[in-house]
Amino acid sequence: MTRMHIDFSPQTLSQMIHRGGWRFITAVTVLVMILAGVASAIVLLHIKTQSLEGQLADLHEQANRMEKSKRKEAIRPPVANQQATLVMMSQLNLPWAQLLRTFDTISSEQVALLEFSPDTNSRIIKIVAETRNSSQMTRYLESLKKQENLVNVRLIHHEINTADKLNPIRFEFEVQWVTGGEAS
Amino acid sequence: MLNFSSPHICVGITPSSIAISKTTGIFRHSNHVVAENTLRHEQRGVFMHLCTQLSLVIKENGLNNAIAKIVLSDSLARLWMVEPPINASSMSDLQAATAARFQTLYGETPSQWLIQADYQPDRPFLAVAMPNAWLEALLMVKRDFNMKIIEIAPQSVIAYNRWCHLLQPGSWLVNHQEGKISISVVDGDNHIIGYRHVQCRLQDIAGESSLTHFFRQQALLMSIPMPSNICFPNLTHELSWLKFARAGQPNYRVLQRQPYANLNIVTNSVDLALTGA
Repeated sequence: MTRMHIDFSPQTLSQMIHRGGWRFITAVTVLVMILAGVASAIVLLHIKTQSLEGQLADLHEQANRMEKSKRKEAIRPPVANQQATLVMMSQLNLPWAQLLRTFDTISSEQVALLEFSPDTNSRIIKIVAETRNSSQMTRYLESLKKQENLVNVRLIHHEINTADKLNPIRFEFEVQWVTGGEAS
Repeated sequence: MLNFSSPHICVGITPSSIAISKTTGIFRHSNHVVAENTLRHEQRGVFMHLCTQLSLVIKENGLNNAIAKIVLSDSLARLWMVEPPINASSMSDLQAATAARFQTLYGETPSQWLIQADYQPDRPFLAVAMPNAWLEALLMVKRDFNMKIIEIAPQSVIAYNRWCHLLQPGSWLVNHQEGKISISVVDGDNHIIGYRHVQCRLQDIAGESSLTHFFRQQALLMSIPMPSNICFPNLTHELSWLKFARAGQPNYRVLQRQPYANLNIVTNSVDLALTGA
């Protein structure tokens, strides 16, 4: 069904449109509808894509947050370790040098320090020592009481060490040390 | 400017008369003849007089701004077949062959003529020519009445384009007017591959046997077999019996739309005006 394209009329756009008549109007309408459909589809897709992108960004953010918190949790050490570390720190923070200097100034040849166990929480040091006799022990304790940074000197226990042939007195006492001039 | 409310008209022009049909209805299904003007004997065949008459009819019927289709009688144009050159490689080769054939057939240079053709590189094709001056005259009428011309073509081309969707491969399309009969041969691919223009009055061959004899003769002259279908896009009273003809060999078919079918007696120009409507 091939039409012959033999036509002597001037070929203009308006001629083509008028020749088409209703067919042209229908074709244009259909074309416009198709274009409108395509345009609306594109707009809808765009909106959908944007919302999906938004959701994706939210998910990414959430994932990042979760990952960060996970990482933080991973880095944080267990509670027992923390406490142990704190204890160790507090022990390290003991004013060892000052204490040793204090004990050095008052110790004499008659007194021997055997045990030295500090409690960082109560700032109390339990000390076990030996002397020749009780008067030396009393003098030592008196001299300890005179120290500025030591308070509450208390004799806990004393006995004569019979295992030793010199029969020295073994005594146990506790002192509390102060920092900044105040006992806790 | 586009104006879809303008009247749609079809102008049929033969050497001796012009007729205008108007198409009405939203889907333009109804045609009626608005006017018909016959030229005086001494004015016949002169295209300028035809254009003058056309202006007159348009003015009388108030058809300014009309959207017009113009159907020329085959005898006002020149129609011929062109065999494409064997080594044709471009459109210009086909155009050159068409111009050369025109010069051979009519002995005229084509410079004063407007030539158009249904160019085919692999089969014979139909070419049509009309004088430049005639087109100028028609365009002047168009300008005078602010008309829009959507088509200008000869009867055979208009009839073929209108009915090609109904033509079976191998059919003949027969047009007749003013003592001339034109035969267009349609091939299997629905292209016109043969065209013949015969001087013969229709009433002389209107009987069934003489009509069949005439077509057999034409087939012999064209050296092609007799077709199975012979189609008549226009029907005048001489051939009114075809409407009732039984199917035979060849099978005669009348191609007509309803408004036209009721007109038993139509003149040639009215016939053209209705062919294009």
